[in-house]
Amino acid sequence: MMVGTGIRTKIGLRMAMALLVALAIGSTELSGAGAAVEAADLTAEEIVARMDANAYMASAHLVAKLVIRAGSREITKQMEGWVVGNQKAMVTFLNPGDRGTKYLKLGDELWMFFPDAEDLVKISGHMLKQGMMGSDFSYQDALESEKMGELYEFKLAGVETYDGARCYVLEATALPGKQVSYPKRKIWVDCEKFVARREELYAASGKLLKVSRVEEVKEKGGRTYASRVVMEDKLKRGSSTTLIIEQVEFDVKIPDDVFSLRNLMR
Amino acid sequence: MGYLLKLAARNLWRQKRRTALTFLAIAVGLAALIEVDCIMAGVDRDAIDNLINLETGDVRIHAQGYSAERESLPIDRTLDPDAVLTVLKDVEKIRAATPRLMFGARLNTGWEEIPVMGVGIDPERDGQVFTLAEYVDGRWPARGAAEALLGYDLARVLELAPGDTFTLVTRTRDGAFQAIDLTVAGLIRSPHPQVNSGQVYLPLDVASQALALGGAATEVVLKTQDGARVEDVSRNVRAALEDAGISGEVLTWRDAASDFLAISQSKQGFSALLIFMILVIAVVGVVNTILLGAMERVREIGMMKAMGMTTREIVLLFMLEATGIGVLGSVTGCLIGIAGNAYLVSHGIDILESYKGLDIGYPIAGVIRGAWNWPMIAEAFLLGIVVSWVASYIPARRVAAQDPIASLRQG
Amino acid sequence: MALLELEGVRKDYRQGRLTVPALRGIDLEVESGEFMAIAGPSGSGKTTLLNLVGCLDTPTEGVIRLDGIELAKLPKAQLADIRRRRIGFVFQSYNLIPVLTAYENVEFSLALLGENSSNVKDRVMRILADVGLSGLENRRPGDLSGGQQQRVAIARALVKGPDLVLADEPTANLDSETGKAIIELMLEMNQKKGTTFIFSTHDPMVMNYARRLVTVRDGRVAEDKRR
Ligand SMILES: Nc1ncnc2c1ncn2[C@@H]1O[C@H](COP(=O)(O)OP(=O)(O)OP(=O)(O)O)[C@@H](O)[C@H]1O
Ligand SMILES: [Mg+2]
Repeated sequence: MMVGTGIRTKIGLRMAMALLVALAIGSTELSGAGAAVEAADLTAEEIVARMDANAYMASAHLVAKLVIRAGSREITKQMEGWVVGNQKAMVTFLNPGDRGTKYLKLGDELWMFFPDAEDLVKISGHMLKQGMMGSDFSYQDALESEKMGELYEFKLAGVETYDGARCYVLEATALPGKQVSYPKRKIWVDCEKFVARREELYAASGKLLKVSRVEEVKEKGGRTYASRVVMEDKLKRGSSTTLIIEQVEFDVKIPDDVFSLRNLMR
Repeated sequence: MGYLLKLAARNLWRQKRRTALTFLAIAVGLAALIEVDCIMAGVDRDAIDNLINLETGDVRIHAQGYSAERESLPIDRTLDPDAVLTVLKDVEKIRAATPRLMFGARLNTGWEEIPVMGVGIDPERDGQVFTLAEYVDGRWPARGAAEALLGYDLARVLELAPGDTFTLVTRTRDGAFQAIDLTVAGLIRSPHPQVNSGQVYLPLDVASQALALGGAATEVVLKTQDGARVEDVSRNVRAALEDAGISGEVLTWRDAASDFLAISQSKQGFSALLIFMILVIAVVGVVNTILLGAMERVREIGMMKAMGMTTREIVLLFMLEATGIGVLGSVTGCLIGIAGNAYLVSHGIDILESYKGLDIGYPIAGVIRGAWNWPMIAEAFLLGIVVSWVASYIPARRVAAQDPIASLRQG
Repeated sequence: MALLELEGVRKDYRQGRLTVPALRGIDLEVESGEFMAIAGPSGSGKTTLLNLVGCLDTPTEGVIRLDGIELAKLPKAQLADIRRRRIGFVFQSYNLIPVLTAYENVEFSLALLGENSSNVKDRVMRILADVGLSGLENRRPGDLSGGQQQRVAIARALVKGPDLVLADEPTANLDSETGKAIIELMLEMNQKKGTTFIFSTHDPMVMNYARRLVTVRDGRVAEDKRR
């Protein structure tokens, strides 16, 4: 079913996922364009468009830490990542247990390399859909690179103060015919910075599956980014994944061969 | 020939202990072979019964292309059960039919999550085809109710009991996450290990709706009337579906049984090993008996040759003695085997205690009962005799070829 | 025509590279109905001579004729057939079949001839009576004395009505009383049935019963006396 790479693939994928998700929602320019607009004047679509526009950066290089908690167990992983837009990403693990394990995302393709087994795995095509049998993440999730606005219909449910910040509360429902993992989402968007502060992910039945929360926001080079994001699995008591971005550089020049299979296997 | 028979019998009787040792060794081997075969035959029969009664039915219908992807439990190749059931009404020799919906899911209890196979059943029809209901501790779920039956072993691992709730996490046909909250209505303690350890049964309408399938099922399973050949029925079903313009795959339980035929083959390997051991025992025993007998009877053989007995007659004499051992071994072995079989058929052996949790890939559990396999017993009977007879030829020839003068000079 | 004719019969045994001459040129004629003893020291070739005459072996040189037919020219199967029908053997150590009764041992001789007619029982019982074993028919050899066993052996040799009975030291394993009784039985049978007897012996008392005494020494006939 999961082509032999089994659990390792899954846990690794979960981390990579968290990283990619965090990057996608994590940064926005502080140029002030957002701050000038009055909250009440915006429609749901406009808010989403602003958020989408802000969410995608030109490029970034970062060092991050993942803390995975499952009940009383806690695992920490260290990694380094290079990202260009939402099309290219390379993640390499630095902590002893996983050193040399790498993930490469190129558009719709996802590659994984496990150094101890010298095992290169490509996830694509039909495996994307059948792969996961209802597990936490699917490969499809990792590769969902369409903009939110193209997948969901949004409704502005109100404005709330969340974690000390004024936030729009948006309810997203999947557009008919679009294949999405979460048919319903609820997003708290910072009224000033147009950064998602909290997101709730729902199953088709309306049951809450996951919550991601931004716990800390930092600034760097005129950008705001979420430096600490917690993803909680609501079906599993005490299960969470925390992403902590320790170092980041935005708009750096990344040589193209970073996102190559050759680099993946090196 | 008559006097040779008498002589052979007397010689066997004279060396009672040696004769007994040899034929008992053969008998034990043959009895073991018969016993093992009896259990294997029983296992096969039980496995097939369990397969038919709990998993495959006699004949089942899938949407086109389903079997090729069966392993991944696809839910994008489905059937409209009502349409299929309507078609089946006019097919002869079908006693009952019921739809099922198989899907992959993860059973989540709030602290643990393990992969299971979800099975949507039609609560009103399922019992007409499957025997699942016989093994339920608790309540049988009702149509439209968010209730489920859980395999007993699965429930034990997850510490779930009737009345508890859990969530089945899966994906809809479109790939969206789905979480179905269910209450445990009852537990299933069946003789089919996979049913006990990995299956969650819920009403088909609930499952189909949750998976955005609009009432569709992945299979329609049917039970044939007694005495009907499944191949005939499946052919008729195929034709009827074609006439109605429904493209589907029609399979019999035999197609599914091919999965464990591989194990049947290793079973045959085991029998072959036993047969080989019997061969060795028989050959060693018989050769030893003849050579020892010949050594003790050197002068007797010399005398017989002097009296004009031909080499052929002496070979025959020794082969008759060996065959006598084979007959005694076969008769005794088969009697022991039949007695053992009678016990295995009526009482069986309880493998549940000794092999708890061991998934041997066979759809069986609990007490294994033997099954009579008379052809095998007949084969064992012949085996003992033929092997002894054949094994005796070469040593008998050697003995008979002795020079009578040299033989007579001895002693 | 003599029953048995031997002309220049030699027999060499090969022992590795060594050639052991057992018989070095025997010329002998035996008439039907003779009661003949072969005497001679140990190793003189008595047994070898009897084996040749009994169709168990073939001479290295020379000719043996039985009823004018040269034995060396016959195939093995035919020699076996001659032994079966025409020659009776009596051995020093009796060589009865231990699992068969006295009666069955005698019957065995007829069974080999494929005889199973109703008179088999009569014939066997009569010959057993002739050798003085009436009442002991159902004993196994193990339950008979040496003399009794040798009587069974003689009955077994005689029951088929052979032309020739060959006995290699038939009394050697018996005490002199019993030996005497056995040789007397043989003589009686010779006189009653006219069967030719050739027997070897070391025992002068036994030799005394012989009508003809052939002495071999070093593989040659040293003396041939008729009485
Ligand atoms: N199979 C054999 N191989 C080699 N030599 C043999 C064989 N049989 C007999 N001989 C030799 O041939 C000679 C004659 O032996 P044979 O047995 O005929 O003597 P015999 O007169 O019967 O002696 P005994 O009175 O001891 O029985 C002896 O020297 C014996 O050693
Ligand atoms: Mg001798």
